[in-house]
Amino acid sequence: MKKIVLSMVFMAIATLAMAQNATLPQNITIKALDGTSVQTSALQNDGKPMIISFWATWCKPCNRELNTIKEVYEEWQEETGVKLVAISIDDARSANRVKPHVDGNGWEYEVYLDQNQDFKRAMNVVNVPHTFVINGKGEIVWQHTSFVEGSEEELLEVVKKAAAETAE
Amino acid sequence: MKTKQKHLPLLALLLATPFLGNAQGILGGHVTGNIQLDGQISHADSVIGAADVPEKLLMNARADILYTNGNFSAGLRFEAYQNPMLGFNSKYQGQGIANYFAAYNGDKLSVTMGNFYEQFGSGMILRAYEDRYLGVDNSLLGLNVTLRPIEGVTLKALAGKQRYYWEYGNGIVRGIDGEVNFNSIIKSMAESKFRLTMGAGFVSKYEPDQTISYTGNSAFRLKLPLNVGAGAIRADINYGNWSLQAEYAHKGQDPSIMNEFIYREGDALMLNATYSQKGFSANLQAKRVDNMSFKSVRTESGEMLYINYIPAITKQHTYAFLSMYPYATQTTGEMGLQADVMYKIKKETLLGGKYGTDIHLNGAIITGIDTNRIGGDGTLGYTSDWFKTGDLYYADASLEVAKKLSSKLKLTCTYGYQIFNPIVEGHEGNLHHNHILVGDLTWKIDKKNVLRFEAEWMGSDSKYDKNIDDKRCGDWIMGLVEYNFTSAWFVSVSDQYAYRDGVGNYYNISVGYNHGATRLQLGYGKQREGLLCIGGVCRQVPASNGLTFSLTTSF
Amino acid sequence: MKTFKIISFFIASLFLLASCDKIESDENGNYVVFSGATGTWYDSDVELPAIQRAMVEKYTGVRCTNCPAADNVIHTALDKYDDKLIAIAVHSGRFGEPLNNEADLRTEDGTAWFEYFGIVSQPAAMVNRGRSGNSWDLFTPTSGFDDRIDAIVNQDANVSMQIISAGEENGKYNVRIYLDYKDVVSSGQTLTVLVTEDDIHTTQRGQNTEYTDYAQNHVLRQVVTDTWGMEVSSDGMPGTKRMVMLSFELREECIPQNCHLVAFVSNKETREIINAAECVLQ
Repeated sequence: MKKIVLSMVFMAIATLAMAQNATLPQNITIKALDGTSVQTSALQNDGKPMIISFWATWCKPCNRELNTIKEVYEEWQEETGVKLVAISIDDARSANRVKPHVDGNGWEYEVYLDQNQDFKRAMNVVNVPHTFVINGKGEIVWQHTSFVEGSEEELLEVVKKAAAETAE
Repeated sequence: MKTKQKHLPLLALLLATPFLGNAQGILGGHVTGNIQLDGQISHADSVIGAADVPEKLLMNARADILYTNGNFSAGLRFEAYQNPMLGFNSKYQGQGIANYFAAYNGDKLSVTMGNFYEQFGSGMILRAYEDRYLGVDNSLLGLNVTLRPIEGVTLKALAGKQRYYWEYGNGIVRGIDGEVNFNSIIKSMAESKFRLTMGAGFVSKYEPDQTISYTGNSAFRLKLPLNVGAGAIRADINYGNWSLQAEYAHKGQDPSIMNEFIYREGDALMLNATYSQKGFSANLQAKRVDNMSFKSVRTESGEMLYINYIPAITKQHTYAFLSMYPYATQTTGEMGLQADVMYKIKKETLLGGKYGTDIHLNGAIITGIDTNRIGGDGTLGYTSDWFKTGDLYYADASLEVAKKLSSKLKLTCTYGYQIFNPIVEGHEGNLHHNHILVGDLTWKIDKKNVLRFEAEWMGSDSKYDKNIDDKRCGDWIMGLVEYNFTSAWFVSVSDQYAYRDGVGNYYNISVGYNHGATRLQLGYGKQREGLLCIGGVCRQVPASNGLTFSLTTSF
Repeated sequence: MKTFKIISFFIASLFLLASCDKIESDENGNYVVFSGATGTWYDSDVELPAIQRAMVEKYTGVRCTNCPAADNVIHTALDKYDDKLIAIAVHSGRFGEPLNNEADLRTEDGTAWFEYFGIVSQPAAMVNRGRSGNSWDLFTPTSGFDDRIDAIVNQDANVSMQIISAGEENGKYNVRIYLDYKDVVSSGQTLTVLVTEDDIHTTQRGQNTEYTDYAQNHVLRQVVTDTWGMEVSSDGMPGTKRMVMLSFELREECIPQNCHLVAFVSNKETREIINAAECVLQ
């Protein structure tokens, strides 16, 4: 038993190093809020950084995260050109409530549905919220699970760094 | 350690080789994955219903390894249950490679061989999915092909067998689905405010014949359909602020243990209408489900081998007492209505204050369908008047008001009322009527220190009865304090206590550490099963009593 | 290439659409197949309405000049009583000898009954093998016999009966008989199942005439059980429901589409018929 646990931890550590240049998985189908199918290869921000946040309508910390960023989103966009893409993992039970939820909260993000969690699986997301920062080259440069008030500052730092890298 | 590192890509390579004609692309690419480890050291507690665990330590572990190289990917999943945690089926006991696949995801064509997940429409006729925390994995082992011949058209075809713990069910599932987005294929509609997507799917299940005796007469056995078909049509219409989703599914004769082997055909209708604008939204959902349990093995009664997925339309509550009586869809028959309204009172108004106020109103009512019994197994079962409702199964209404009091304080208050019929969990009994109050205060002391307080109360007309042993009965109070030091560390202490007509005292202390995509959590105390949102994430947890630990990481 | 893909996709779709079985129910609305042993009595769950039917058996023959007249009388009665009256025509005796080298419509079972009931003149008939005093209530059915039928069909059945022709399998026809006891039937009972055939064209003598192409109906062709039936295994108590499945080869000469199955339950001692049922052979 110990062996399994150990080897898994090792595997994690070993592969952490390799993960740095992972890119977004291509051609996984997600849905826009108007029902249109979209390929994940279409998630782009013209060479500027992008935040991809996995969330669900029923997830309180996710809603706190997206509501907190909402307050500063305009500033962030002006400063770094960042775009936030919110991927809802709500399944058929609540997927229909995503659009009213987004509008009701007044979120200006690009929102997609990942109803059967194909994108979530491809991104190795276990729990929500799980947030990724993608640099201008489409590489995943940072990821984090969980949200607490204040951690948006850390996110902004990463985005700024990614934006600076891209500008270079 | 070094050898491990070498092994990983090798493993993926091994998987990949047969599916790729040329190996040039293999070098490069990258390996990602995630690991999850949950454990509990439990001791029995009859008061909260935690069973005795002779092996002392229960553990679920899982690792997904994913190799991606351009359009090609391959993956495998290792699972270990030594022994399965409480709430997980004992058939999970064991360890091994639970899942593997190789996939090509091109612009116009996607092919997956091995284990795959898929969903047609909202899943009313087919949804192969997993919920690791609930121990549900309906993945299909077989072939899945998606074709996107032109922009706006998606065609899917699949065939496979469903996972059944460490085995695969006997039934073969085959399905096709097509979806057309008219705004993409009709040029004049490209920029239209009117958005229209329509789709249709068909699923057929084959299962060999078997002897299932007819209870009415021992000289007979049931004449079983070996192929059971189900079809669905759906539309998604958007016009400006309005949107409408509709899906209708119909299923052929499908006698199974779930419907007590009746031959009535099944159907289900789901309607959803939404009006939303910035700061205001309203959503109305209606559904009717009649005999729509669809499994790939007719004699399976557990949580596995479902081909389709009929969701509950009640709100998924996150606060402990609001979600204490979760409602699960009665696939054999139910009718329901759900309404949801969100309104943001603007900043700088009388009620809005400096930061505005969020109001969220939700209500749902679910009843059985009308049934006129004809007979038991081997008959049509019953007839049903489409518009007539049956017994009340569940109703709830909740009002949530969230208000930022200052730049540091945010308060959320919720009132909820529920009526719960124990028949949905399979036993007759009085309706439970519950009133619930929740106060949730977040205090951002400074940039690094955040405190959260949660207080809940539930008043119920239900009383604990030893013979029924429903440990949720009675009146409850709960308190929770959570301290977060940045998003890295958290400590939470909580207690749920039945102060009248009930039994139980669920105290819990949890400590957690987050770093990047890694999360480690330790807990001690008594835990009710359900959705738990502490330390900045939400997840389903099993019932436990004692020490629990959990490690998740993605890489 | 693209077109090919799409076409093959839809061919696969059509194949799938065909992959849905539709099971038909039997007459009782049950989606079941018999999996027991033939000739064995089983408890049944089929509840039957308390319909009391009468069976008229006519002893007839192609040489019997008054028989066509009797056929008309029976035909009228069948019209009147509809499915509450069942008729069988037992070609028997010397009058039953074929004319013009035509096929012999007599059967061994029919002859056995003919002799047992001591029939001396034809046409002769019995309703439910009833008795008049100590002798069989034989009568000449050239005039109406409604009183005999009324006496039976106007009461509720002690045993309700149903006969189901359950299809052909390996050259054998399956037949199921259901009994539903409504009242106490104290004596032992026997079940007789037989095949009748309509529309057999023969020469038939009539009053001062000979019909060259006469349609014989309800002709007894074969008895599926023993001549005097098989024993019914039942306690005869109200609420008891029993069923039996029988399997038989149809006589080669019979045209299946023209055949009916008739079943009746009789008192084992008195031979009196307690109830009867009929269905089309399928």
